[in-house]
Amino acid sequence: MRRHRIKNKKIIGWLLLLPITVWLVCFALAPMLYGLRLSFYNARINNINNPDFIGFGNYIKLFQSADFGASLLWSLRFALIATSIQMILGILIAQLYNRSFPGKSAAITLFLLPMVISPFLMGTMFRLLFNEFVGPIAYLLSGITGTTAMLGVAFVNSTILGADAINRTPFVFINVYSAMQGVSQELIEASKVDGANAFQRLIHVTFPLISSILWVTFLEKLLASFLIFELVFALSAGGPGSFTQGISIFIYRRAFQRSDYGMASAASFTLAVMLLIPSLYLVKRMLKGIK
Amino acid sequence: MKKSVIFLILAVLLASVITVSAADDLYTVRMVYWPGPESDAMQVLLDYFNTNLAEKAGFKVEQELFGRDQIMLKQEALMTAGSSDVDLFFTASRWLGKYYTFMEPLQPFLDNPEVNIWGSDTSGRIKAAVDGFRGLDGTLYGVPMDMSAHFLYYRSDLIDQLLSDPAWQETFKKISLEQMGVEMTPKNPDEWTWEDYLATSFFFTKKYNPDSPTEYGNFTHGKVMGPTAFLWTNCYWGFGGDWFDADGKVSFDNEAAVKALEIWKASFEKGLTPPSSVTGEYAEDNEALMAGQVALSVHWNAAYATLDAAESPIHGKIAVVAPPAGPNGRFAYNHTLGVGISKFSNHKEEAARWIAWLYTEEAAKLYGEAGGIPPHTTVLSAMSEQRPDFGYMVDIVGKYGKNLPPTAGIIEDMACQDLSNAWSGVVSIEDALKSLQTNCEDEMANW
Amino acid sequence: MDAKKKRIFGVILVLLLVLVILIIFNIGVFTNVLTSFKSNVDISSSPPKWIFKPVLDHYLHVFSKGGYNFGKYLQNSLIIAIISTLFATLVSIPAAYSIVRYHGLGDKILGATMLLRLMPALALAIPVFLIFNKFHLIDTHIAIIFMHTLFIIPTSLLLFIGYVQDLPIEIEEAAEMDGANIIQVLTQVIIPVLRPGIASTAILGFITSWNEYLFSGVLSFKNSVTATVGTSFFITSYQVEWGPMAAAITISSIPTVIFIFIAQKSLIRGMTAGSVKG
Repeated sequence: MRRHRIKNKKIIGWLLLLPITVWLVCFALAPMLYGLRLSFYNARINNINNPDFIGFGNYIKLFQSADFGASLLWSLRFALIATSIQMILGILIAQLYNRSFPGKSAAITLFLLPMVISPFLMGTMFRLLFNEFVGPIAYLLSGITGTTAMLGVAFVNSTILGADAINRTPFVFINVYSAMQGVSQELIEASKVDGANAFQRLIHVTFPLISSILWVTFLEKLLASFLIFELVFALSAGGPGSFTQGISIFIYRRAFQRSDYGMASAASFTLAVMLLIPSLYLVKRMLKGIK
Repeated sequence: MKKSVIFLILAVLLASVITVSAADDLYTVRMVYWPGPESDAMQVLLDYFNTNLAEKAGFKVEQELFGRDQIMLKQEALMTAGSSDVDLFFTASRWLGKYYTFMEPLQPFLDNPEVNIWGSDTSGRIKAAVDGFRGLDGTLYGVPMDMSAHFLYYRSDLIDQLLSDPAWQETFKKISLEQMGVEMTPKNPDEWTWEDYLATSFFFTKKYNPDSPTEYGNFTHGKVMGPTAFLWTNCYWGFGGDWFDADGKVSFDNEAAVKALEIWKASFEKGLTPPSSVTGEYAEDNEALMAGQVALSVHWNAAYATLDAAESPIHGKIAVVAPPAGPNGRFAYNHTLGVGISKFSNHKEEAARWIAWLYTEEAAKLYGEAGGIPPHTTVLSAMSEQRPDFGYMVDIVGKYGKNLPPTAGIIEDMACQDLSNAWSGVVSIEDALKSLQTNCEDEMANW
Repeated sequence: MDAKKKRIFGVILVLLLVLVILIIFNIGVFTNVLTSFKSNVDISSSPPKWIFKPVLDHYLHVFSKGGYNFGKYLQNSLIIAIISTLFATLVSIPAAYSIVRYHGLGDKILGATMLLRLMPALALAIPVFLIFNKFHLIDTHIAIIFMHTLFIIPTSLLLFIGYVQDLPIEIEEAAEMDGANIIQVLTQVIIPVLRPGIASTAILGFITSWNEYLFSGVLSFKNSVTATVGTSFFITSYQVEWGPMAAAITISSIPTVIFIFIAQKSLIRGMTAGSVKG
């Protein structure tokens, strides 16, 4: 009887998971497998209904192409720099917000606003706002940058970094701020009594307590930045040439501008495999937080 | 409280967007078209046709607009799925090589008086434009609706002064000797070679001529996208090159391409064009010209209407000629956008009757008056009073017009990446051309 | 007295700093709204103008342009966002319940779901496009809904896990004692208790769907074009129509901005789900 109940319970538990499993299988796993299959074919618009099997042909071409390596390198460099900037900004701003002041709730909400506009649309508008001659933002910043040519070769990478920081620092901020709210006020007060200044309190009291959350946030942000697409696509399209072409732009161009579906799939799959190890590690860390 | 607010918002949103569609008996022919000035003009045609001619024709027509970035992808989706959802596909002359297998030959319909009740033919349209809608074997697949070409834009007030002011001419000579290695004299833009273009760009760049009224000499489109490669092609043709050689083989790794790229690269390297033009295109070019910061630009014809509009700051100060000449001649790139009948349409005769009407002078006239640019000689010439650019178009394309072949669309994205790498100095010209040649050859092997 | 002065001074300093930060981070949003009210001449004026005569032309143009049906795009966005959120909720609640209360296989599904959140969505775009195309599902609402649901699921699941963990197990056990089966427990006990959580999770899902660009763009032509994709139609064959585009962005941001204001707390909870225990 008891055994029957346990078995029953198992079935119910499984049944409850059925809908989500169906969704994951149909719309994530199946497309991924289809993509994997496609990566072994020469598939283009003119033969998509009857593509040619070419084995590892796409992968061989991919690893021989300097373009692919350069794209990976750009993405990696961008991810490291962008994440570092945004972590520092996010922590500093969270520290600023981590006290009571009038209008705080509204201030938090307003800080989240940049996230509500689609990065692609905002990126397109940034072409105007950063324009060398008529761009309001370019003019405002020219005092600092010394030029309004924010999308020239010399500045385009920094401009992308800046625009991305505006879009995504709020994400870091929110994580860090929530974590700081969890740090007991008594500890802070105690260290105040000990004569620690604000900076020392941040380094010696707050950081050790939220280090685990900082690490997870850093990793999650790093992965997201590595895959940056919409903003760059709208701002520079990866150019000039392949100067700002990250891995996502590389894949997009092959898939949607050259209709080289096989090659795009091979690149996507390679990318997924590369990301798997850090992702699995991150998921493990996150699961620990949930349980 | 919150719940009711959310509910209220949803209700207001829903109520504000619910649209009422009227029922109609006539079949509606559906046509893919590009959003923008082209579709604005087309809408005028559609309204006219649906009001006045739908009874006679036996159907109505509507257009479906796809965004620019994904129009090829979406058409390809409809094509590979064999979809009968639309009756007419949108195409450009340079894409026809990719798409003609999904389209229906048009000539038999045009020759059939029961379909072509308007009795129209292709003779009114500019021949080069009609030929742009023929496959490699000469079969006609559609109607060229909207023509684009490249002009050399220049600030007429500045060039006039350059041609008449002895002090400016002295400076011009001095700067050309310093920068180009030969002493040059200012010439009328209609007689320019690409060297004159560069020398004048140097003259109008503050860095080389502190007295220049403009900050930069020219605006060169540098963004990595197909159309910027077409702008460069004017120069490439001038030095004797072409995207494909006489046998239809890809041809980029040659002396002509090096020369043409050196001209283009000089603008970026020497700072003759605004630094951000490496990621700039049509929109950025317009802003730079209207800001009064550049003197020259090889640019699209469509910009003329904006640049010379009454409220434009450079109204009356902008003029156009064909792009400069190279040792092998002078060329003005042009292409046409238009529509053809889908092979999968269940209403091919209706679609063909619509295309036959589009071929009439009446349609071309309406389209031109509504802001489109029909490749129709009589209509363009007749309208040159109110649209001077139409007159220039007939003139420039008539004398110097040249098309890319229908297969160019297949390699356009590759071409622009390597070319943009070369002129912005990211990769050396030599390496970029090698890579371009190999990539394009590989790609063409699949077609 | 001095201490009080010092405190007031401190608060003012903080407020000033916050203000500067808010201005910097909202400069894009702000200048975009400004652009939407500028006439074309003012948009192209060099140097850019900060004071100008506001015009409504671009807003009128967005709603009256021939062949362009922004009202319908907004309607599509609304339908797609609501149904996707509904699906994601219906799928995530039982899954969250199973993961918290039954263990076993659930942990694997949870891991897979979170992995999905980190994987490049772009990698799915091509196969999804080709598969949906094969089934003639391109340009249907349901195609976009399927994918948006998939993208909403990870965050919803994490949030619901948090909510279910907070529930005392005793109510469910009491219901089971009374002979309720699992469906009854879910619909009559769990869902009513979770209602506030569901509302806030739904808002987050709504925003995710409303702003999604890549898949909405790839999977639609005309009938199922969303506001985000429709806005991109102002990038025409040559020009970007800056004014109408700025206006369309402003209009289509209004629902999300309102939601952010009324659901700030849940938004924060949703964004931190995973890294910070919700």
